[in-house]
Amino acid sequence: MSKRYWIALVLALILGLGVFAVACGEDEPTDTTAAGGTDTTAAAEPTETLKIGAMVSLSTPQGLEMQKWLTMFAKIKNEAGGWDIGGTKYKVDYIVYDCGIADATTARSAYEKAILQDGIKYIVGTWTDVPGVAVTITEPNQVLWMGTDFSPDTLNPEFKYTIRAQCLSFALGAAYNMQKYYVDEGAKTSVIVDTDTLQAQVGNANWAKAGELAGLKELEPITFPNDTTDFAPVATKVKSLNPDLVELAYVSNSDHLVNIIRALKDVGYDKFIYPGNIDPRLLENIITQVGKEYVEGWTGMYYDPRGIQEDPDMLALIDRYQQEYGEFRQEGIYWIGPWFLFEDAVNATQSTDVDTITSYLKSMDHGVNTICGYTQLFARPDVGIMDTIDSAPGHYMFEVVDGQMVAKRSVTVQDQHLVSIKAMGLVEPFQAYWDEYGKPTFPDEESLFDFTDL
Amino acid sequence: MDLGLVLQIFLNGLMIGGIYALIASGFTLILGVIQVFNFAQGQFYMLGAFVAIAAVTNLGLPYPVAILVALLATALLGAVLYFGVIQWTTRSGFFNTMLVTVAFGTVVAQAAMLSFGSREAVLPPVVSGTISVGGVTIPNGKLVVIAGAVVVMAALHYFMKTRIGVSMLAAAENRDVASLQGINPKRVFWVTMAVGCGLCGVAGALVAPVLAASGTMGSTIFIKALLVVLVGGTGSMSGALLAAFVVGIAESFAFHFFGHLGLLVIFVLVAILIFFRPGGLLGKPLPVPGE
Repeated sequence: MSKRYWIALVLALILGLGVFAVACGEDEPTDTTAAGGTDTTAAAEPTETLKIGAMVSLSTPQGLEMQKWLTMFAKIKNEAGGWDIGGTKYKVDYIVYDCGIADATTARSAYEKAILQDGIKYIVGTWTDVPGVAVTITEPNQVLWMGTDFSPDTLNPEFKYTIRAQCLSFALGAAYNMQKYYVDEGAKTSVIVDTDTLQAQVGNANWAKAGELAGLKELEPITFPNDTTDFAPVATKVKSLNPDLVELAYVSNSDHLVNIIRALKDVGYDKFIYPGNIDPRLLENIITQVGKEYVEGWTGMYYDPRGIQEDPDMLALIDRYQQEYGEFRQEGIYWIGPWFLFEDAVNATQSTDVDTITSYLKSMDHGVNTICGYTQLFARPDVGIMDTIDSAPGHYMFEVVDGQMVAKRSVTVQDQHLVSIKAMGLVEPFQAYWDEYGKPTFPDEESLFDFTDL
Repeated sequence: MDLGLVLQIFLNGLMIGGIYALIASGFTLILGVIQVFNFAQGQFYMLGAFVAIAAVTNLGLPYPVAILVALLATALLGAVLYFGVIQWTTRSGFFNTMLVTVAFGTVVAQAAMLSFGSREAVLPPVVSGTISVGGVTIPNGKLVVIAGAVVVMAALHYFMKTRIGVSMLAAAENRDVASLQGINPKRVFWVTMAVGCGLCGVAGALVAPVLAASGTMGSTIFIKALLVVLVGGTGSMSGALLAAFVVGIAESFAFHFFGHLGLLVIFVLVAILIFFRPGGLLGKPLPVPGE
């Protein structure tokens, strides 16, 4: 072989050895004492490590924000000398894996690495992973999975270790509230516009049911491939249907949202738009493209707890986030809800045993406060699951006033759960479940709706 | 279905086609002259958009200057790609070079994500408002994109008639004979790379005021650009131009009638076309490496 090939081979070997060394190298010991002072409480060093995994797309703002929150939670536990569970102090190691954006192959690789190589026993928090792939690995390996999904993939009575949080099946109360708002403003027909993923298909079907409950006539939804660049064809199709309301229900790519809304304005669509999951920065970008007037009066889901949240523990977490990272960002804040359920379960059971923690979660009878309000697990008797598995998360709502998102109201756990049951036509199975097991108790929050007919 | 709606769908396709034309032309130029399948081509489109946005919002430059900055930046990066990587790997063969461009594209995409963040980036519209004619609405911003694409394609056409442009065509025809005629292949190749990548950068800069830029936009448009090259014929610039608008218009109609299955319909039609015309509309079949 020529000299050039030998040089290349040597360089490749050096690179490979370097990667190997980094991968196998031991972590530097973490300083768990508070910065700037001597730890006078003489907390004992943790003797064990509790490894928790999260599966997010680190190419999305939500995934990056979730990583920040979750690693901060671990840091807080470690600074206190570890998580005291059953008399043993555990150092918390929260490992956030990049599972790609709804990419089954990447998600599978991430799950296999987490579970089969790294020995993770709890997956707490997901964003854009492919739940159908996840459970094929978590269930056989007896790994607790607490993730976001509302497709049928994770609703199997045979599954022992699957908890859906933050689930969106019981999130139709917020959708209904938004749709009712637009109906009161005069909307009669609506079309849902979304990406053509399985989650979106299932979510949109439920979303449409909430719309019908609110009094809307839901036209055939318009779905587009995730790699769509120009949304003029989408907007043209919307214009040809001429709905009173366009619902961008589960469009998760922020650039898609900007482009769709811009395209709608370009074709002259001037009726109501539900803009989907937006935050202040995204709203600013939308206003840059379409102007303030176009967005005035919009309502939707709101994720900034500041000014609404009153729980001192949650407020302390918000303060801590700002100390750690500076500017407050809200993109991931709703989706870290599973952490609080998990924390509650571990603290209540004082155990790290997966079966013990899962049993507790599957018989939850109370809500747990998260940074964005309460969340609570409920059973799914409609699919034969009598254990509590699906969360109904409370939700804040905003209105756009003079180009700003202003928090207007809260949709409670009770609102979410009961409206969802009604919208999905599941009153009968749930009523039978309540007759046998008793009605659920909800967190003490003021409901927006009257449920006397439920 | 009224005529206004048909015209609207047709115009939507024209607008998309303009972007495809720029990206596919750059790709075809590089493939035809250097015989490199540049998998990183889409990332130059993404970079062009972000550079233009940064030039306007951070440096306060006028938008036309920002287009120039995007062109120069992506052309320079294209030259770096050639000198730093491709000129060494072409000796190892077609597939090895292709793989290297995959790696380069991945590095660029991830670097952009780290530099520009995972959020979308937008530019205020350069030209706002729409023109409405008989029920057809044409956003002024997109008219600027089409006009820009036409100007760039015209400039490319005249560039190919210059000495260096003719040298590029000669090198594409037969590298050895061109070399014997006194044409410096190395110079031709890096200029080709710079021009090809610069075309994508300009495309990105042109769409920046009308579409939000994101870190993944390069990957998504590249698939469409490949489709255009396949339909137009590898190595045929006029084929790429024709195919860009054909694909754009077909995509627009297919979406309207078939929704998210529209792309599937397009791929089926392309497969049928390739079956009967393996070289695409105006090109010739890609040579098997080694032949």
